[in-house]
Amino acid sequence: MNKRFKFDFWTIVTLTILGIFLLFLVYPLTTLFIDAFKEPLTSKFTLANFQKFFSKKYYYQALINSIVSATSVTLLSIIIGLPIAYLMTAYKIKGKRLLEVLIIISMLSPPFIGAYSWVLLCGRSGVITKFFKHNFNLNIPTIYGYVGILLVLTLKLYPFIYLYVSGALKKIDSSLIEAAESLGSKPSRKLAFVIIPLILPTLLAGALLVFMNAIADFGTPVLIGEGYNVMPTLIYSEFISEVGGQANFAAAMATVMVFLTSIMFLIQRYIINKKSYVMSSLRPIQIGELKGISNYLAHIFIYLVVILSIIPQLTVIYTSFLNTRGAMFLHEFSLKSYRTVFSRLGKSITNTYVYGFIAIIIIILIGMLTAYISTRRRSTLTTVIDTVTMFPYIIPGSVLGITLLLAFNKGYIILSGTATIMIMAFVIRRLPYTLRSSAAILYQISPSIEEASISLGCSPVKTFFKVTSKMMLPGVLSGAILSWITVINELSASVILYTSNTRTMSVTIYTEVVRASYGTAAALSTILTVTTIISLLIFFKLTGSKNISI
Amino acid sequence: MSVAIIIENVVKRYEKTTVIPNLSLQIKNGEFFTLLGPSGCGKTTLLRMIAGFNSIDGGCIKFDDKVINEIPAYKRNIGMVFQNYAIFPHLTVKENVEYGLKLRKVPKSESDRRVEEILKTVKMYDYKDRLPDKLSGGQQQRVALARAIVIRPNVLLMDEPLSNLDAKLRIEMRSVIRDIQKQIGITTVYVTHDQEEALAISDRIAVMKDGVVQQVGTPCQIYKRPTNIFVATFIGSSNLIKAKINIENGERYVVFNKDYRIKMNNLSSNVKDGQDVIVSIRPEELKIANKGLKVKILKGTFFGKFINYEFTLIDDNVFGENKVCEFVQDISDTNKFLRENDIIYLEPDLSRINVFNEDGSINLIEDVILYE
Repeated sequence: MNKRFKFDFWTIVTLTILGIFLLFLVYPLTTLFIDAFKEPLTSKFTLANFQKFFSKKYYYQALINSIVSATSVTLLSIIIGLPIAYLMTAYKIKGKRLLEVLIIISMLSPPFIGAYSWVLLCGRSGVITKFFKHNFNLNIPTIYGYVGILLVLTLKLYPFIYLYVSGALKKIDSSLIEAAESLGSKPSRKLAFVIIPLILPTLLAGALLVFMNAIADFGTPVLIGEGYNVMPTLIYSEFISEVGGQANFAAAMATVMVFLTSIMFLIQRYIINKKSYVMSSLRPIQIGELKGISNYLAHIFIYLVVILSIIPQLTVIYTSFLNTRGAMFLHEFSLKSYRTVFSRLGKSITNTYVYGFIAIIIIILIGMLTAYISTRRRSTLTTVIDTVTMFPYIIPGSVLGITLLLAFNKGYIILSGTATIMIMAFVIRRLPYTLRSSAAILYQISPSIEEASISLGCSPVKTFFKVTSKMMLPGVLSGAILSWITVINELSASVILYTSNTRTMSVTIYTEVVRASYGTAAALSTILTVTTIISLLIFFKLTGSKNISI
Repeated sequence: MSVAIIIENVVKRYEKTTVIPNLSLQIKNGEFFTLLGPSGCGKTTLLRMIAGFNSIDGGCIKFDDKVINEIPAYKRNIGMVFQNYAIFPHLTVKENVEYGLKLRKVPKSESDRRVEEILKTVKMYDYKDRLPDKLSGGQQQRVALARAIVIRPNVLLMDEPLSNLDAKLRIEMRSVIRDIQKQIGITTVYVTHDQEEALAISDRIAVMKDGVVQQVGTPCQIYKRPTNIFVATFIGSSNLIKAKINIENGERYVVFNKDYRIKMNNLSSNVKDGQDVIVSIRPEELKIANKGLKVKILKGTFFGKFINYEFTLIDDNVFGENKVCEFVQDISDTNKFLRENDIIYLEPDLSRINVFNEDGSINLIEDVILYE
């Protein structure tokens, strides 16, 4: 366009959005990285924080644990998710639709609920543990530590592999497979030489997503990990125990963590850019039917996994209606937990909805406007914004919590303990879903539609609100629903940022579990899970789609 | 209402490349004016400069006496029709057409009347409550046309409006557009790369190449007397044959070979004896004769009304790489069909052929009009 600088509406939007990101993301992160290289008292440049981390086993063991557990979770998720995706796409499975919905629900409900219900079932005084103890005098293997983390995270994260891979499988045209068969390929060979290579890039992308989620998760290891320290829990405990407010060591650990996730993120980008095949399926793979024993095995396998992954939700819903005495559930139904929740913890419910609502409005606004400027008003500034909006992918929630707190508990802008800081954490963490879906739909809208409106006498800004935004809406909503669900379930950043006035349901569930108030935790978890499910159902209804894009 | 468009020395640059170095045109009020050229010639760029979607980096564009350079697109009162129709998918046919009227705050009763009238003109009135996804490409383009015209724009701009339609519909829509344009008499600038479409629809055509206007004229002028080889080959097809000028006793001849030369009465006085030239002969300007160019038939293709023959010159001095030439034989003219490898003589129609200088940049015939 013109070389002259035009100070129009979109310039203001660009600068505003850039300002928000600079203030709430770039500035805090820079502060964090600088802090990591500072001596706590003198503020001199030092590498001592990193030396401390890498010299004491207690610290660096957490890094090793993080990598080991995230890698195991990723491998297990592939082992489970890949066959399910293949079986569900290629063969007739009874109750497929329901299974799909259950898989999505188990993916979208908060992982700490999973951890907490497995503790209820198989923990030291868990139902199953006691059952085996009393009837058979058997000690079942402990659920705490590495095994528990593995169990909970795998059941929560294999859906990513499932969704990614079945998406890719649906795009394979059956003519490719027929071509392989016509060239003399046996069924087993066609799987190994045609299908696997075609879905490999997608599988790797999904695997890295699982890895990133697993390594950044805070709720699961904190509830079920016990002595098994991982980076997010270590950062959290080091940060919380720094009474004087000198968080340089925690900052150093956060830096190590961000360094690791950045590398993974770059690898993921590289794979997606270099190795993805463009396929469009005119004729998807024919759905076949398994016969005899293999049919039974397939059904047993799929149902077992899906039931296992949905058990936590069922457990919390069931136990939320039980009467309690202290940490104990009694064998009688009661609404006592709900009464307690509403009388004592009602604030956390309103907080969740109010903050969530404000956050989702901001997310939709920023998401649509950012998508618009970076696809239609390209400039150096939008390139900067594009890069900055990638940050949330690589910054674990707990790290984001610490950065925001460090940046805004002193200086000119003090936000610590406010609702604003919670909402901003939500916005930054969950914006990418909405941003990406908004950009995706914009690419499908021809610019000439906007030009048509302008040529008819509508100013460009008015055109955006009158035409473009309306056409964007379906795409925006499909991302916004994901943002919304993940906002109300957010724990790892809010657990650092909350105060008694600003706590949300997920934070309260966490604190209630920690003080062994299982009944109220179950009631809150039920409210949260039901909200999630209703949101999902509304989404399915609104978009008419049967799937959800991650 | 309708205006004349005066384009004076306009310049367009993208980054460092200059797309339009210096272009001037005058488009008359009420005229159907076509910008024609291969892709990348700058025709769409120029149209979008008139529309206001591209900035003007030098010179100026006027609607009548008014310079519009700094007027934003939405205030220029233009009607625009796009290649991909650009119908608002969330609005019905009627709502699409009403869109511009609502922005102009036209009273409801008048708006309804105008929408009804224009929808009847484009024969879409029966579809007024449909959503666009239920319409075919041709129907969508009718709606787009109605939407652009109903606001009574200063000018109507059309950017390859027919290129997404199939061949049959394209011919039908082109006469719809032509008829409606004449009916309401609006200045229209039409962009296309399809020379046949340009010839059929335009009052005048500007042929463009590399951001430079090669020739402006009526379809007939441009077809008959192209200003250079580019125009001669881009509009219709032309056989290009190398020859030499021979001046004898003040008479000018074009010499093809030692056996065959033709006397030309309309060559410009600038030609010199012995000058190398390129003779451009359209397929329909050749007739079978007893003398003339000696050729060998390669292939005949029957088209019904005529037969198209491919041939090569036996003397082998055709200009350029492709040495295969064509001529057409009207079916009614003859009962004799030529066969492969037949050797015949072809004689060009002296009043119609064109003669260019050696590099093809100048037409050496006297009555060439560069800018009508």
